[in-house]
Amino acid sequence: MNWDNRISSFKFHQSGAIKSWLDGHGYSGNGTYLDFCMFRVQGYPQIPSGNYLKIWRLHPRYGTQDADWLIPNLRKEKLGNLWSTNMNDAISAISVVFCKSKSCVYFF
Amino acid sequence: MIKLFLFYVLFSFSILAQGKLKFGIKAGVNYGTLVTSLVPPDGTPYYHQFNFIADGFIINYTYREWKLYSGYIFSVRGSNAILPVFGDKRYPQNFSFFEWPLLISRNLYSKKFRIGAGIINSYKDFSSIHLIGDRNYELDVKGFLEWDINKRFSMDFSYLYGGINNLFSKRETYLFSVMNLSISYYFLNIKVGKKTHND
Repeated sequence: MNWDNRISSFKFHQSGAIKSWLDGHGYSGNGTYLDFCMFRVQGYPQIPSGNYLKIWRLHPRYGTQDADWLIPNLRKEKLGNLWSTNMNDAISAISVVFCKSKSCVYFF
Repeated sequence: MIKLFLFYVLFSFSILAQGKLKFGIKAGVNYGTLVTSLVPPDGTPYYHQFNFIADGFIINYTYREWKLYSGYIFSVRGSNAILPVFGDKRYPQNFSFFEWPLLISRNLYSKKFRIGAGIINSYKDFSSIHLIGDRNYELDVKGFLEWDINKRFSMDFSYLYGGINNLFSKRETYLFSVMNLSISYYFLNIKVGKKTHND
């Protein structure tokens, strides 16, 4: 799937059915996190993959209902004040990673 | 923010009638890591790394054995971390800041060597990894040793602990532990008022 210019914002849910699923499958509490990773096309800085990478990391608490974490505008993301990364643009891939005790499951 | 900065500079140096005013540029290297005391333990190992960008404009005012510092520095801090998306490879997690230091130092044994400390107002410009408690502003503390090589050049070694304001709010965010080695070049020296002991 091509994500270029198709994603301008996203939200981590920390309540309701999604949170129940995280709690029920051990993806909340100490030793867990949830990464939302965005890769840009080849040639952007920050290697090792050859692609530029930016991550949003959530540490879900076990057994709680918490407020959502909204990332409202990826166009405002910057790499240095001199130029904008515009993370909405030139996205080659995204990845969602669920980790518990250093064991991770990938989506996309 | 620029107005606030200019106001601070004018105010700081207007209340001190005598001394020596210096304007210059600074370049240095950072060596540090992220501090995760406010982040829930998630098993990610973090390692120290070098960042070769800690540059900017500086201004200082010498009065007798005391020196005040300010300026505007662009600094990259960060850490190496092992991220699942890259297997066992270490990946640099960089954060860039615009720093507005407010520092003071005093002569140490001779006029050429100084010891100092102060605070840094830091404005986060870029993060390669975001946490839910991230904010753009943070307050840092810094201690340093300085060697005045000659009238034009000086060298300093410093240690910065970044994000102390977050320690009080308990917000989930990264803190920073950063050592720095820098060299400064002063392109403009102005004597203000009468002669001082340092002249």
